[in-house]
Amino acid sequence: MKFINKPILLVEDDQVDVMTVTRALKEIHVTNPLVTRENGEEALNYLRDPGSEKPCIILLDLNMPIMNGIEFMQVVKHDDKLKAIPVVVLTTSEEQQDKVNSFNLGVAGYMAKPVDYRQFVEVMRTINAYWTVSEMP
Amino acid sequence: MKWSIEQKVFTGFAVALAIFAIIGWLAYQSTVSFMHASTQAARSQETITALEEIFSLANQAETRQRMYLISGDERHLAPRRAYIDRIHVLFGNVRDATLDDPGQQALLRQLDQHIETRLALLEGVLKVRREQGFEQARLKLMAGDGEREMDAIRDSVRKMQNGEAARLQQWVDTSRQNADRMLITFFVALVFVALFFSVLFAFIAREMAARKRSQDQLARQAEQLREGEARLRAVVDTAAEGIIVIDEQGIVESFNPAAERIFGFVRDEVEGRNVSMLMPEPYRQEHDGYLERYRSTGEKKIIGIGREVLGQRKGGSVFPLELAAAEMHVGGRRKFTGMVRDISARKQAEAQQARLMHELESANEELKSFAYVVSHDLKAPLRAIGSLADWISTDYADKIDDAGKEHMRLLVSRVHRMDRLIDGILRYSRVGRVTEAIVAVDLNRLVGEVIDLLAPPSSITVSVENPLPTVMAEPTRIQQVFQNLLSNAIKYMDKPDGKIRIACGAEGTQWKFSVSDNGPGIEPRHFEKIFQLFQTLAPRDRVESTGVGLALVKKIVEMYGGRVWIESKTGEGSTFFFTLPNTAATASSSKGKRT
Repeated sequence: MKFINKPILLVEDDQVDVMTVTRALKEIHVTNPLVTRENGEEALNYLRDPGSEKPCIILLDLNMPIMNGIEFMQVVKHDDKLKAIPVVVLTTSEEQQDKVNSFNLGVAGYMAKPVDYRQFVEVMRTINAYWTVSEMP
Repeated sequence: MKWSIEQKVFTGFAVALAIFAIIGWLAYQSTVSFMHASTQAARSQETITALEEIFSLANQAETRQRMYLISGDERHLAPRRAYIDRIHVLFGNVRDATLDDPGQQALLRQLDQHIETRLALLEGVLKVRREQGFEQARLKLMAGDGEREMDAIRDSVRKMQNGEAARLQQWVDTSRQNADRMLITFFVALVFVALFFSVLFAFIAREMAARKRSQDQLARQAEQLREGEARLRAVVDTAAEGIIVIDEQGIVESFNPAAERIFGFVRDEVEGRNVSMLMPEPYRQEHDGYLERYRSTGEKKIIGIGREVLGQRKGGSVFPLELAAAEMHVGGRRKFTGMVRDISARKQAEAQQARLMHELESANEELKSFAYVVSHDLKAPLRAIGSLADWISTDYADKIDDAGKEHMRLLVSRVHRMDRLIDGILRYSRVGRVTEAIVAVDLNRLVGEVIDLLAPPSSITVSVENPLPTVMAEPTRIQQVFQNLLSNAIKYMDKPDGKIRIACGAEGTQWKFSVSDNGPGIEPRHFEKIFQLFQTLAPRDRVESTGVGLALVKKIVEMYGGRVWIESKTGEGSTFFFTLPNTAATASSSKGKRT
């Protein structure tokens, strides 16, 4: 990541998936603090809390209770203070409609979570490599 | 003014009678004047004869007198008195006959004088002879101017005869003229009458023909009318729809057998009564008002529109019916025809169909959410299992023996297999559920891309036999078809020199594609089975296969209205055929591509 001190916001309801991301980030030596929220609503609360530090990137699951990933992005991408934050979708869904909706809302990337953990690590490595090379707002 | 044929014929005969009357009158006139002229001519002839006789009598009288003078024989004087009387009679005749001619009358008077003078002279001579003897008489005779008088008589007679002859000629001419005129009149009349009757006959004949024609036509029309009525009656009687005719007041005038069947009433129970008896409340009450309103305002609710309404059967049961009403004008009166059809069965079927549709929709909805659940909620735990198994075998590598590691490896591989199965189900369920735009797909390019994607090993040659067409389809689906068929052919290839051939040909309104290989082939008993979902012919541990590929191909091809089948010989290879409709938008591409 470009900014190693800024947190990464992970919006994910599945505990093992949270563990997977945490473990994979650790494995590829990403040292940014990881903030985890269970659904879109909680993530919004975090983002709008003046006391919390703005994340450099949001890793977003789509299928969540209370407020799903698409609904979350509809709010974030219409919020002038939040819409510049890159959002990378990390999801199980390979539905075309989900991909179209996500990119229409301006996501920075769309990754299907592989079943194989090793592959998942590679996905995370790629994301990290990209956002290390790419400039960030 | 239009005249009837009788009037025309009567007028014709009246004209003919008038002409006959005129001709008759002319003929009568001609005859009368002809007869008059003939009479006149005859009288002139008689007059001429009479004058001749007068002259002759006068001569004879003189001759006799001379004979007496000479002989003194009194016998010679005997006829003389008769002659003179006769002369007087003739004189009267001539006077009567020439009353109309003053010239002749004047001449007659002269002649009379001359004759009287002459007779007086003769009388004088006779007296002398009788009393004084022959010689004295002779002297007296010689001294007198007897000769001169005789000449005057002759002259007068001649003049009168000439005059009378002229008159006779005139009368003859007149009568000939009259006869000619009469002949001409008759001739003209005959010609005219002939012409007139010819014309009249032609006219009557024409009128009769026309009348005959119109009578025939009327008869024909009446026949057609009867036929049409019978036909209409048959149609009405056999119509599947109930047909009810009502008048302006709503009184039923006709009720056909189908209506009897629909409503359960027989005709006599309905005809003459108000049609509202066939309706349930509240429509029964409203119907009179409806008709009333339509009569006064022309506001239509059903007439000419038709709609679904409720009817009531004889037993009182209410049922839905479709009503089409039409207005007609018969003999200046307004009537309404209603066609009714019992749609209970249809309504039931519709309700059932709606229910089925609803069930189908909810089933489809369930399937969609099922697919979504499978894709997300089933995959998430699977992924968790995979990750956890991976971490256990990594983190606790020193605590697990080789058998445990092997078990963990199998666990992860089964997780992968299940992941592929779920993906297969999702792909299969996506066909027809998720649609993309139909575009022109150049199969030469698409197949090339698929081959590149599959990257067949160098021992296998994939070739495209002939240029492939461009078809209208969803590119992803078509790609799936070729990808599955080709990947199967590559995956199961058992020959060191693998050959896979792709070909296409037009067959009627379809494109027929084939993918042939020289692989192991498939036994005919499996031909049906291989296209079913999750059916594989090899154990999954030997050849990783989900059993989705061919089922997916079949589903896609059939969705486009095509057909898929296989021909194969065990040990020699298989050929998969499928067809796609050759729609107008698709065109054969000339670019061939060989790989």
